[in-house]
This record gives sequence, C-alpha cells and structure tokens, in this order.
Amino acid sequence: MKLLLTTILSLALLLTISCAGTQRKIIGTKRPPIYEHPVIETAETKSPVKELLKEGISYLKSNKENKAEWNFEEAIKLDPDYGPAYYWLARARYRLDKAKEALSLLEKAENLLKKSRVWLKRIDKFKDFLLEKTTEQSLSV
Amino acid sequence: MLQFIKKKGILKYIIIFCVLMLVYILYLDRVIVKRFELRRWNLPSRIYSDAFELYPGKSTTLSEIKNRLVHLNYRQADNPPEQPGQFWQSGSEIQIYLHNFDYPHKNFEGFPLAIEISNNKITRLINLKTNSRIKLTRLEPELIASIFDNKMEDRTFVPLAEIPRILTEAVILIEDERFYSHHGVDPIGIARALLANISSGRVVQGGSTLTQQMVKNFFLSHERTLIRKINEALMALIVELRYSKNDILEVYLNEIYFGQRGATSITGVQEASRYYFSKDISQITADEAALLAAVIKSPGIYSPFNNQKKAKERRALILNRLYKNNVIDKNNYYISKESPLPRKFKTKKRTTAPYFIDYVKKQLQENFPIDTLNSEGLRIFTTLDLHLQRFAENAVSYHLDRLEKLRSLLKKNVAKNLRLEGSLIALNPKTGFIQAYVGGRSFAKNQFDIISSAKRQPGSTFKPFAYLAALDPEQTNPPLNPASLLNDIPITIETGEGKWKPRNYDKKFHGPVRLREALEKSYNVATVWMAEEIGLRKIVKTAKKAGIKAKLKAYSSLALGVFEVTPLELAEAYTVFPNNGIRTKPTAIRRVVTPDGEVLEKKSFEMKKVFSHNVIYIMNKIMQGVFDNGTAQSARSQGFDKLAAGKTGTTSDYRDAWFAGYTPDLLALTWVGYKDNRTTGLSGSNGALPIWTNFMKKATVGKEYHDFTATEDIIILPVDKETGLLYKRGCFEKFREYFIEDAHPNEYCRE
Repeated sequence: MKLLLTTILSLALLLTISCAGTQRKIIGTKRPPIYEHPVIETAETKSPVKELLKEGISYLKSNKENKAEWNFEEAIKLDPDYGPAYYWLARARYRLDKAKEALSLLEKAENLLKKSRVWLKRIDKFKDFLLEKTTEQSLSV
Repeated sequence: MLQFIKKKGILKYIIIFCVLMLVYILYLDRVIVKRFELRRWNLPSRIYSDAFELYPGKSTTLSEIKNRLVHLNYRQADNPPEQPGQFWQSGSEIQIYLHNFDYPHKNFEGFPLAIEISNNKITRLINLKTNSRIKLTRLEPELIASIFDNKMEDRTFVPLAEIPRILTEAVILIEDERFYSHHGVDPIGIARALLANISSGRVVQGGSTLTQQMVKNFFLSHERTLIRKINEALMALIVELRYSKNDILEVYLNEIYFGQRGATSITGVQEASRYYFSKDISQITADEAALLAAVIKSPGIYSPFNNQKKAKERRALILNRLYKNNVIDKNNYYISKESPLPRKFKTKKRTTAPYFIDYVKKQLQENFPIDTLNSEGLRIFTTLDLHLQRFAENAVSYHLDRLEKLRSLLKKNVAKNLRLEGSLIALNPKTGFIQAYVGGRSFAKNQFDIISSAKRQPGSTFKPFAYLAALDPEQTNPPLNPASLLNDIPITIETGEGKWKPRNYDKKFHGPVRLREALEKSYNVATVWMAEEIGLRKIVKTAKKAGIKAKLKAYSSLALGVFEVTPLELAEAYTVFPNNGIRTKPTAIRRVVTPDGEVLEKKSFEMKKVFSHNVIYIMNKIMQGVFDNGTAQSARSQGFDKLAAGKTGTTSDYRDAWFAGYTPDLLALTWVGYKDNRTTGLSGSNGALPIWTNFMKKATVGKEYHDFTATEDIIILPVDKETGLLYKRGCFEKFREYFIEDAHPNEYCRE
C-alpha cells in the first residue's frame, strides 16, 4: 500500500514537472496559454562555402587581403546565411582600413551565429577591439 | 649630267627636296615611335554579368543551365564535347567544355566538365580531364555591353606569345610569304602581283607586304591615293628599320579587321576567334587558324558566315600551303580540310539590360572619365543575373502589352500614342546584389530610368513601415501585436488645407479589425487611426531607419505613402524584411579590373542592423498573409506557390500601381504607371502584381523552399479571430497567430 502510494505520488510529481516545461506563467492571465514555437530552420552550409573560407583565411594569413576579401564575398554570395563568412570578411575589411564596415558585418555575423557561444565570444572580442580602434582614431583626429 | 644639273640650277632644288624629305621622314619616324612604342589601341571597356556558380547541392535545372550556356555562346554538340565552347546533354547529365575566362583575382582555364542533376539539384561535378570530382566551378560572366569610342572597334589585345604559331604561319604564308626576307616593301612581291594582274586583266593579287598592311591599318586611312601609298611605303621602311619582325606581327594581328557584328567592327585575332569559334585564340585548331587567315583578305567575301563555299576554298588553299611548308602533317591536313565551317548559329536575342548599363555607367563615371572607359579595356564585373534579367524584361513587356489590350482606358490612350510604363528591380536582399533591372518599357523610346530616377508616391507599399513602428517595442511602448484591434471607422482629420477624411479602397468601413487583417487587406482608415494612436514621428523614424531618403513629414497621410520615393529607394527599405532587420544597400558593380588584373575599384555589401529580428519576423508573417488572405491572393491563382511576403500599393486616382514582395532569398519590386502621372485605372493587385508574379514564378523554379528564419522569442498562440484575444472554447473562431514572447494578448475572449 505504501509502495503504491509512493508510486502514485512520484508519478503525479513527474507529471507536474513535465507540464511545467510546456506552459509558462504569464502575468495577468488566469490560465497560462499553451503556445508553440515556429520551427527554426538550421540548414548545414554547402561545402564549397567552407572551401572558399579556408582559402580566404590562408590569403589573409599571407597578407593578401584583397584576395581574401573576394573569397569571403564569394562565400557569402553562395550562402548569405553562413555567419562565419561575415566574421572573416570583417577581419579582411579591418585589415583594409575599413573598420566601420567591419563593425556592420559583425552585427550580421552576430545575428546569424546567435546559437554558438564560441562564435559570439569571438565576435564580441573582435567588436570590442574594433570599437577601441575606431574610438582611438576619432580621438586622434 | 652633273654639269647639266649645275647649269640648269636644279641642284639647289634637289638639295631642298632632300632636306624636306629628310624632315618629313623624321616627322614620320616620330609619329611611328610615339604610337608604336605604346602599342596603344582604344580598347573598349566591357561590362559583365555575375558568374553562375556550380556546386553539388546547388538548386538548378537542366533547362536553366542549357539556357545560360546558349546565351554564353556555347554550342550544343551531338557527342561529348571535345573543344571549348561545346556542350552535350545525355539524360540528366550535361557535359560542357568550359571556356577560359578572367575573373577578379583569378583566371580560369576551361576544362571538360560533367554535371549530374537529380530532383532539381546538382548531385555531382566531374572534371573529365582529370576524372576527379570537384566541389565548385563557375559558368563565366556573360558580356552585357562594351563601352566604345566613336570607332566602335571590338578588340581584345593579345601578345604574340599567346597566339598559336600555326596562325602566324598561316597568315604569313597567305598574306606575305616573303615577310622575313624583305625590309618593309617587297619589289619582288610587287612585280609578281603586277604580272599576275596584267595576265588576268584585273586586280587579283596585292603587292603590299604585311608591314605595309599594318602601317595602313594602324597609322593611315584606307583612301586610295598616291600620297597615301607613298606614306605607306616610307613608313613601312621606317618601321622595319626600327622594330623586329615579331613586333610588327604582333601589331598586325591585333589590328587587322575580321568582320562586322552589327555596328561594331571585329578587330584583332582574339576577338575574331571569339566571334567565329566562341573560344580564345590560344585554343584554336589548324582548320580554324587557316580560316582566320582566309578571312583577312576580305571578311565580306570570305567570312564563313557570309559565304561558306568561298571560305572553304580559301581555307583549303591555306591548309595546302601549311602542309607543303611542313607546318601541319598530312593527316592533319586532310582532317582540317574536311572539317565543317562554323555557321552563324541562331543566338537568342542578346540581352542588353540597357537601363542597368546606363545606371552602371553613371556610377562608373563618378570615378572614371569617359576617355578611360572607352580606351583602357577595363573589365567591369556587375551583380546582374542575365537569366533573371531575361525573365524580368519579358514579364514587364508581356504584361504592359496585355494590360493595354484588355483595359479600355489604356486602349484609348494607346490610340493617342500614350503608352503605359513599367519597371522591375530584383535583388538578393541579403547581399544587396541587383539581379534584374528593368528601368522602363523601351530604352530605345525612352531613356528615363524609372528605378533610380522616378519619384513617385509609394501608396500602400509604405504601410509596412507604419505597422513596423507600431509593433516594434523599441518604438512603441507597449507595442501593438498582430492581433491588436484597430479602428476602421470614419475619421476626420483637420489639416492646414481643410478636413481630410481617409477612405478605404472598397469604400467601406470594417469596424474593429485585427492589425494583421488591416495590413493584409490594406485598410487605409485603420492605418490612419493606428498612425495617430502611436504617433507619426515614430513612423518617420522607422522609415528613415529602413533607408527612405525622401523628406518625410509627420502628416496624418504619411502612413498611406504620400511622400515620393524612387523604386530603388523603396527596394532598399524592403531589404530589412527578408534580411531579418538588416538594411542592405543595393549594389550593381562588384569590381572594376584592368586588362592586367589590377582591381581599380570594388564595391561590396553595405549593411546595417536597424531593426530587431523578432519584430521583423512578425512583420514577415503578417505580410505573408497578404498572399494568403489579402490583396495579393491572385498571385496564388496565377500559379505562384512559393512562400513569400509582400505588399500592394495603389495611389490616389490610380496613378501608380506597385507591388513589393519577397521570398527569403529574392526581393522584387514592380511599378506601373504613366510618365506624366495620369490615371491608369490600375491597382497594385491588377497592375503591378501580375508582372511580379510572372517574374517570380520563373525566377524561383527549382529553387529550394525555406521559411523566414524565426527566433527563439517567437511564439504561436491560438487567438480569437473576432476579438484578437486568446482563444478558448466558445470563442468565435480560432486563429494561430505569431507573437513576440512578451508582447501578446494576455486575456481570453469573453473574460
């Protein structure tokens, strides 16, 4: 009997916990509405985009910024929803003395890479660096 | 004799003549050195479309690839392609021998390629030369236009080292066999020509050396006078004294005339090879080299496009000489002799995108003087997709014709020689690349570019910016939501010019309506109520943020789109919707490159985040409803079945008909109206939407389907259609609505 009671109570507890996951309390309503999220599509990027990026990064490493910039642009043309391409294009733009443009590209990268903490950290770091640089420049002017 | 000269006083005349001759020769020498040293021709700049990428996973169709190939002058072969410029289709596979082409920062060398397509997607790309799979390649950019000087000569300079030896041999053997033996003028050649001409009783052979021909073409005119002949001989002698035979040959082969393509002259071997064989000069075969050498004598007579028989005879003569001089072997001689001549294949009507070219030229002229553009041989790589451009041009022209046939008012105007105008601009909203640009109905008749220059009232296509201001928590606090009820009841507004009573298109009032419904059905009255409620300045601010440059004033009619904008400006503002709140500047030019590959100018993505992704997603979901329940429903009945969002626009007295619509990857905006702003009787739905639908149906064939990207803050809730409140059993009618998580109705209906 004791065992049966414990099982029933446990099941009831589990049920309450699982229900709490799907319903949220909304202030001002007597009964919280049941909602759903739209499907968020996350398509894996096409392979040539990564190839173009790889090639671009190697150009950047060998100080061929213009070639790198073109490669990153081509990658974006192929897949405009691939966030890392904007990040790398921002890096190339910065090296080409276009810090302001680089900042806008980072916003786009941030928009696309919201789910990746690693990327967001990387973007933030570079953004801070760019902001510091642009402030220094404006002060020196 | 000497005494006779002295006695008659002729000596001083001879001395004067000699001195004058010397001065004249020195003058000619300067002329030659100045021009020859620089090897300067006025090389036209060329404007290209964007390249078309091919990679496994790419959404495309066999017919799209074939269509692109035909426009790139590839020729369909009966067997797998063996030469550049050929393609062959077998089932779901297409094999192409790609052309060589120069691309910014990269030169591509053509190779045979196999493309396998299944379910509208490329499944495999194989390099048939190395028999290996490849991940990415491109179809070259298509030439759209050349910027010429007034001579209209189409020429691409090619150094002698890149011209196949077989061609130089063929040209020398037929045009000037003793080229390496004479010094510019060849007395033996002249005597031989004279004899041949006397014996046949007409001019059958010329005595000019190759150097003389070069001098004539490069420095002199083509008039038949003695003075010109003397100048030609003198200059030929000077050129031979100063320069090597190879230098002379290089100039000759780049200068020579090979025929006519419309108003432009085909000059130089590189352009001739592209014209006759659709390939670069470095890729020609023995029979093709012989044919080019054959054409030189008289393109009008020996061009295979004009006279196959004569061209074949002269080609055989040259091949025979090549064989006899051991330049080609017997086998090659017989094969070449029998090989078919190129025929002027039926090219589809060339797409010239004249308004786009005009727009590009205006941008180029900000940085490059016209003299530079028509002489430096610059290559201008643009963003245009000519495949889409063709769809756009057809859609505009077909529907304007159709409207003028069907509608009595327009028919009457046609009789008065008043023609309806239309325009379409399509761009990738995420990169800003302009992919199609039709700035008017006929460039030949009217060069005014509607897209970049016409300032017109946008009507209801402006409304989304008013609704965006209302839904945006950064603008309106608390923000409205798609289920918020708006008043669609009579309203009178005092203006400086009297009372203004806005009316709906259907001349009815609809009482309280949900915000979604008000935008889907484009209710003016509800929009004005809403604009007054949230504050007009917020709408001005929102529109400015989206990129509207017009001087907007906080008038009550603002939300109905009374301030004039250009279609280009409106298209830019609309990029914020498919681009999740990021405004992207429309771009036409990607790179300007010199013939040596140096990049002189580059333009690229210019973007700025101006709205939150959340609010834009909600806007996209509402504007999607314009297709499903609102003013753009007819697009569905006309067969457009892709996920899209958009807005119609009609201005007062039916002066302008607009449609701005987009999928997540392609944005297109259409406008229809009269130049002089008179009434058309057309609304956005029946005037501009059919053009948009026709274009988008074709432009999205075989393309991947996907939805607007949602965020984690978006929720879907069942709401009551009548009250816009949360739905529960017993409410009027259930409706699934999208909300930002912290901006949704909190009460249930009947509570």
